[in-house]
Amino acid sequence: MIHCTAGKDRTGVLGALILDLTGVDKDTIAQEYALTESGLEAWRPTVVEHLLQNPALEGRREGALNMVSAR
Amino acid sequence: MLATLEMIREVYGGAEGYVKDKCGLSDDDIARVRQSMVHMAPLWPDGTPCPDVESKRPSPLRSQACLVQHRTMHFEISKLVTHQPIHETNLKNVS
Repeated sequence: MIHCTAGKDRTGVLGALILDLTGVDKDTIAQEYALTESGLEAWRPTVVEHLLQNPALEGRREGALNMVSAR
Repeated sequence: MLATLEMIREVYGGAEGYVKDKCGLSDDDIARVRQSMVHMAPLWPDGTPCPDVESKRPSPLRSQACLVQHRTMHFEISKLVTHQPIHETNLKNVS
């Protein structure tokens, strides 16, 4: 069980570590992580708008989009 | 992710180095993780790989379709935190 919020970053890094430990090649690991892009597609616009309300981002949409991407 | 993996390789010596140095796993622990998670591709009795399967690398843990299903399910569950309406059809058993 992994404690996370979006299930993307902490989960993604831990998943990548497990895959690397069990000998999966780096391209497959990156591909698996990139699946998050389609899995979280419906969630993205809502979260971006919510993130833009945080003063730390200074209204920069690109910054918010980076935070919710999985590349 | 590729850059992250490269960094892990350079700084920690790969996932194995990281889990040993930073997480305190033993060689035994690592062997047990590998044993329980890696299913090697099947071989004929004489040791040659089955023709439609690559035998030299471990098979992925899940099919891609299954992983997308998992993530959709996780997305629906995450909506519980943000109090958004849930699409119950997404909360189905994933094989």
